Amino acid sequence: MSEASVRGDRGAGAAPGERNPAGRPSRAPRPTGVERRFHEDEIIVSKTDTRGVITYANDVFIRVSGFAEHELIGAPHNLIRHPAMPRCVFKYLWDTIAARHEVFAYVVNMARNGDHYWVLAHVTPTFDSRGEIVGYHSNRRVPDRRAVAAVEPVYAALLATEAEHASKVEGMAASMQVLLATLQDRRQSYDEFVWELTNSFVQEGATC
Amino acid sequence: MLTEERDLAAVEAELATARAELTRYHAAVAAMLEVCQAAARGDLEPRVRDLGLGDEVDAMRRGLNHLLDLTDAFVREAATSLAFASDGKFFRRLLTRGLHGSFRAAAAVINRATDKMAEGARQLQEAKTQRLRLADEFERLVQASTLQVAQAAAAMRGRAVDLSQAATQTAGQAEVAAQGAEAMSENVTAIAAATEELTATVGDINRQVANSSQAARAAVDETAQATRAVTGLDEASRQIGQVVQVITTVADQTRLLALNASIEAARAGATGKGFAVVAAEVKNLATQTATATQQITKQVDAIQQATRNAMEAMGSIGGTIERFDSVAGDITRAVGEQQIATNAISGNIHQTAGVTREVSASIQAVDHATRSTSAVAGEMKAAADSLAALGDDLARAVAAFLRGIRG
Repeated sequence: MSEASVRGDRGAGAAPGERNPAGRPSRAPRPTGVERRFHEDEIIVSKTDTRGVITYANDVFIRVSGFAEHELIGAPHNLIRHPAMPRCVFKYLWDTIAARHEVFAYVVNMARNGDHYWVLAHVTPTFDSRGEIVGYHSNRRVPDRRAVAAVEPVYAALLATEAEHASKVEGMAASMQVLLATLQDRRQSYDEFVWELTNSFVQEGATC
Repeated sequence: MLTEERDLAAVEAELATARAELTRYHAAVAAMLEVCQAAARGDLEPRVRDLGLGDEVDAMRRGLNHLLDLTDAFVREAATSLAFASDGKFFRRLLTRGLHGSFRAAAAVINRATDKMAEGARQLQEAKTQRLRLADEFERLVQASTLQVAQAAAAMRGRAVDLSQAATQTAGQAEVAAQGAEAMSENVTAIAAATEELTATVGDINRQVANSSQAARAAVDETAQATRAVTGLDEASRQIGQVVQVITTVADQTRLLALNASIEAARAGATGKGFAVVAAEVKNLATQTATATQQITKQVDAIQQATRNAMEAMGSIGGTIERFDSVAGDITRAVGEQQIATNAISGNIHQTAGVTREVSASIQAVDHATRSTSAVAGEMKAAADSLAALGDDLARAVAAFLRGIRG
């Protein structure tokens, strides 16, 4: 297996479907509203190339997403994008990892059948020996429910802003301004915002 | 046979299946070996795809992938969490959820290390805050002190300049005074010399007056002797007069006798002729004696007159000399008084000269003291300048120190 990395949810920032490789049906299942859970001891792992095309999916990813390995490998990562996720979050995520930084994000993903599952995604670039980004890697853990509950209204506001714009690009730009304004109100960086939620509810060393 | 053939076919089929499975197993082992070798080289990216193997081997594949996923996740998280921590972002922790056993333990260690770093950073920040507070306090105190030093130095410098100017003025005045004292000393010396000359002159006068007095007294003595001599002469002339009286009386009686004799002789005629001649001769001698005594009387009178005149004159000289003597006594007394006064003046002048010398010495002392003062004022000014410079240095050092400790 060649070096592969996760592109995070970068593909979600672009128009979904366009990135679907030929021969793969454009999937647009309706959200079922059913939440799936995975075990706190488990980690969903995926890797993408620099374009966000999945190159590796671990067995937890395969089980929780409901896709077969061969359906995931070669597919864009926005395959699992849920419509409840604001585009600006993926935009921020993509910009951050492209700038060679790691990013943590609370993300709700959609399974093959329209069910959804919340993750705390940790996305990092993968560098080659010369320091070039050769792909991306994502570890996804079970998030604390209280952190999810805190994030949901923020995402809802961002989503509402995006819904006000007919153009996805304009909507995303507007919601990004809302996100930045929200952070500025909180006098926090994005990292501090995410980690405040994370550290508030994750007990160090506790068995989750 | 048939059974045997069937059995053989079945065995061959099983064998073929087993061979194929063995081939797949070989491939799976090779794939897993390749991934393990990559991981051993530090390349945690490769994973083993689903090769459609049996449960056991697939479990092994998934187990290997899971091991690599955990290792990969741990390495990525450990690296980034420490990178954040080293950047002072201690909120970024290593998530232990999903990690187990040694991974979790190591993650906990890293998180504790991060906590320690955070605590250390907090203490550093506290120390820095404390340091800055101390710096502010120090600055407040030291700047006040250095300001005071600078002010004191400036004041001291001002005083030194004033002192120097005063010393210069004093030196000038002392020089003028010294010149005055010198002139005064010269004048006093001149006066002293003049006084000594005066004293000498007064002495001369005194001596001359004394000499004159003595001479006058000698003249008085000599006049008395002369008076006594003249008085003797007067007595002698008076006795001569009495003798002349007697002679005159004798001559007159003689002439009368001669006259009588001639008369008698004439009566006696011729016999008396001879006698008449003698009588005539006697009468002639008597007449000549009378004439001589008259001349002597006249001369004695003249002598007595001269003697009286001489006595009168000598009495007058004596009075004059006595008066002169009296005047000389007065002069002597006056000169004596003057000598006393002159001596007093001379004494005073000597004292004054002494005082003048003392004044001169004092003025020299003042001059010396003034020069010392001037030098001291110069040193004081230099010291004040040094102090000011030190104050500046101190202020700069304090500023540098404060910059240093404020980072």
